[in-house]
Amino acid sequence: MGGDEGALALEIRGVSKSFGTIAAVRNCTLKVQRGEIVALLGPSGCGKSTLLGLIAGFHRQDSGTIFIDGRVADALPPNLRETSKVFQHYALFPHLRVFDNIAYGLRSRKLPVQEIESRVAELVSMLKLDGLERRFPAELSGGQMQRVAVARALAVRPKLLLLDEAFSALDKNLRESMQLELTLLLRRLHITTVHVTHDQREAFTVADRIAVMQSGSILQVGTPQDLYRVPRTSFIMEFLGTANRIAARPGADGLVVTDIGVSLPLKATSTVRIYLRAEDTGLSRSPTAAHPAKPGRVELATFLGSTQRYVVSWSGAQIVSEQPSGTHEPFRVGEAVYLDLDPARCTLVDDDSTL
Amino acid sequence: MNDPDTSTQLAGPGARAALAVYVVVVFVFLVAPLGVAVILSFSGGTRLVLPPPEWSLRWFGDAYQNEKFREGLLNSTLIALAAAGISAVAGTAGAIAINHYRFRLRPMIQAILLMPLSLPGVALGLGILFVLPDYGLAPGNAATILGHAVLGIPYVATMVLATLANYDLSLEQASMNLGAGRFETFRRVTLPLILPGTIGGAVCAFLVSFDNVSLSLFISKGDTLPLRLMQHIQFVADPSVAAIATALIAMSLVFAVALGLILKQRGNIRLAA
Amino acid sequence: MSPRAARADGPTETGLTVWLALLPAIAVFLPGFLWPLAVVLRNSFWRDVAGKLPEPDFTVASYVTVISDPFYLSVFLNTATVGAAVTLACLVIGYPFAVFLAFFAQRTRSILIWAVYLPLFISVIVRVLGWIVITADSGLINAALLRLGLIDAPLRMLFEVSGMAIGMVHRYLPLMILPLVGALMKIDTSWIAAGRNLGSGSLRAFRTIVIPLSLPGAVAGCQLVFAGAISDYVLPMLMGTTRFRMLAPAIYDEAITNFSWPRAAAMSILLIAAVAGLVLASNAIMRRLAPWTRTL
Repeated sequence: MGGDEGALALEIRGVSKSFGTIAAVRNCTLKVQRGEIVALLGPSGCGKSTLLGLIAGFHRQDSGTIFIDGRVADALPPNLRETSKVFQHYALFPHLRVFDNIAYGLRSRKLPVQEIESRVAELVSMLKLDGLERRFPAELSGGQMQRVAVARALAVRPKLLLLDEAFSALDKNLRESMQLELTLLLRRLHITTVHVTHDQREAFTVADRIAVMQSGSILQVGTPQDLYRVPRTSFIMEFLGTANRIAARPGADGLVVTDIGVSLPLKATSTVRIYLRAEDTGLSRSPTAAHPAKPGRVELATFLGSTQRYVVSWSGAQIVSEQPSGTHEPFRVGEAVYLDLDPARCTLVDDDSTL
Repeated sequence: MNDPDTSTQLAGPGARAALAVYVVVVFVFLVAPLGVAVILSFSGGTRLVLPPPEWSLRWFGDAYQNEKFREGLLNSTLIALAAAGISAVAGTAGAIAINHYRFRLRPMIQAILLMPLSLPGVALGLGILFVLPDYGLAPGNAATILGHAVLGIPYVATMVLATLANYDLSLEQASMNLGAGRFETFRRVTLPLILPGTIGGAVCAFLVSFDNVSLSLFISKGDTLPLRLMQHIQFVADPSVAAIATALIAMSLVFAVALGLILKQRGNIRLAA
Repeated sequence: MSPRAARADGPTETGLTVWLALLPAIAVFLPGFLWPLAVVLRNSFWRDVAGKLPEPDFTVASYVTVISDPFYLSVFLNTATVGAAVTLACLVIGYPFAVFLAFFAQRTRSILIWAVYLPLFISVIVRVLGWIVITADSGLINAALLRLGLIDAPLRMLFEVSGMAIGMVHRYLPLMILPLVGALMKIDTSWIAAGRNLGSGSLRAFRTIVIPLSLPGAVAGCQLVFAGAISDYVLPMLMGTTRFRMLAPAIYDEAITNFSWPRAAAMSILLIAAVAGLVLASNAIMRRLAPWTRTL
């Protein structure tokens, strides 16, 4: 029994929550379609976990409404909201075996024993936990515990799956393989998911859409490409990759970048800031005829595997540049290099305003 | 915390040997009176002296037939069971309240809950004696149960709080999230995990009540086992008291071993994941 | 990989649950602890009527008597002296034992802890019985000393202050050892290794690292022992002497034998005040002299 067919799986309208004088969540609005995977991405303290707690029903919001599957969820206590949460440290019941952990929610719903057994068996094979049913959580590895936590959450066939930094306790390789595995599973099962994380890479890997949060507010919601290419604020730009920020003045042919001297055929009426991704910059040993400029000095050259990262500085400016490895002979520290910018990749901001 | 390699850095072998000898002496000091009491119970003589003139089991029979001792044993057991039961419930519930929730009066409530531990027993006994008429009670078992429960609650609360220190609160969130209501969560998650603390505390409360003199002096009818034993030592002074002592030691040992086994077994499962 | 136990963050949604959970404890404490103590305080200010129940009034006569009369003063003095002596003895005897238990006992640790806990499980009456047999004029100590020719006549210990004090030290020694062991075991041996690494000899490492860090345990132990010793009823009655009166038996006498409730109440209040004052003062002094203990 849910809402009507076209209803959103989750809608948050104008929700705010403060703890004492600290405003944890400010006027957040978000719509999530059925079957979508949405990530809440932001640094620690931005309110994403609190928002998740509000959705799950562990806190009451101060204002605003939360709709789950088309119906108002505000009055419902956490055990009636049909949302399932996977905790950062899994919160597996230490005194119950894997089987009983997974079956926990089903037993609460007083389902018949046959059905409980078949559902648990289904999940055990889906999450590749075969053979571990009789073990206690203390006898499991980190990855196994995480899978049990997911199995437990999925067993009750929730309307919403909530993941609270569910991968952060795993080490890097395991984390990446689990992210892929889980995302594939969730898409196959068509389960609506809200995924809280501070890791940009993780959000980009698993989510259809991402809501970037800062200081309690949702700054922008969009696909990974939208957020990366068209960020609405400088914070987002800087959070989602390495961004350079340089100043430029209007000049004879357009803009002139201060201190570096590069000219760009762009229009502006006053001094502006240019935001630029590290991989959208070009470096060369000789000046390109079209753009006279001063050479900068390579301060740092780092080999990162697939890319080379350089920090190049001029008298008043500094650029971080990333070039794919193998396409050029690496620049060395101390070398003089010239900067080449693609005007199409530059994002201009008036000095006084945000993006 | 106790890396043997670093411990050797604290004292050389000579110092450690001297310390070991010292420890043996203190060990003997701690255990001697108990051993003496047990040996005395097998004495055939009539005075509290060792070595006994002859060996005999007569004092066990004597103690068994002693009306006052039997009465005392019965009363003390009943009172201790009741007091321990009340302490277990009240102490556990109180400890959960203090641990799970933040509320303004929490530090004060916690302090009050633990206060009877350091309170002079005679003062409390006197006080309860004063107020008994207000409750329509006279000195007797009911009053004693009340007083002993006050003494037992801090023990239960302390043990449960210690157990809760290792307890992951998000387990309860997880339980509710999966559909269990507050009560069900308590029954299926909280209780099993804090049971060792509750049981340990209840056993402590039982022993504290069973052994109590300072409260029972004022608010019982003088018929608890410790009081009867005291009277016997003061006025009769024969080894029948030792026979009871041996029985009590045996009972306490059984308790202690059983408790250790229960805690160890549940402790294995209790490791938080 | 174990999760840190956490307090519930943010206020609870249902404040009622808290008070519901506290209800059983409150239901016991109110009639059994808070109200009785309040009445003791109240009665201490009532007028003492010879041989009959006290009458409602407000007078400090009982306090005055109890503080100025030489008989009562001697009781307080006796009790305080014995309390201090027993505490000191327990500290001196218990500290090396606790150090051994915490740092050096590998295989013997369980037996030693057992030996410390066992007396607490056994009724104090039983332990006193043992001490009576050991310290009596015809008891084990005297028999041995006489046999060895070290003394001519038996040493009077039982039914003297000395015997009572020995019994008290035995009774309260575990209460000193357990907090000490707790504090000592919290000391990370890597700190000692660091101290040695930086040049300290083992004695200096002990003095500058172990002793200061064991302070909270020592203070806790002293509080427990002193509070216990000055409130003790059983040991003065069974192993002491009426020539050296102690406070708890005196309170009982005052209340039950003399039927002088206000005086008994006044003495009780003073006893409670002494214990409370000691605990608060020692905690405050410890925080002042040893600021690092605030974080322990």
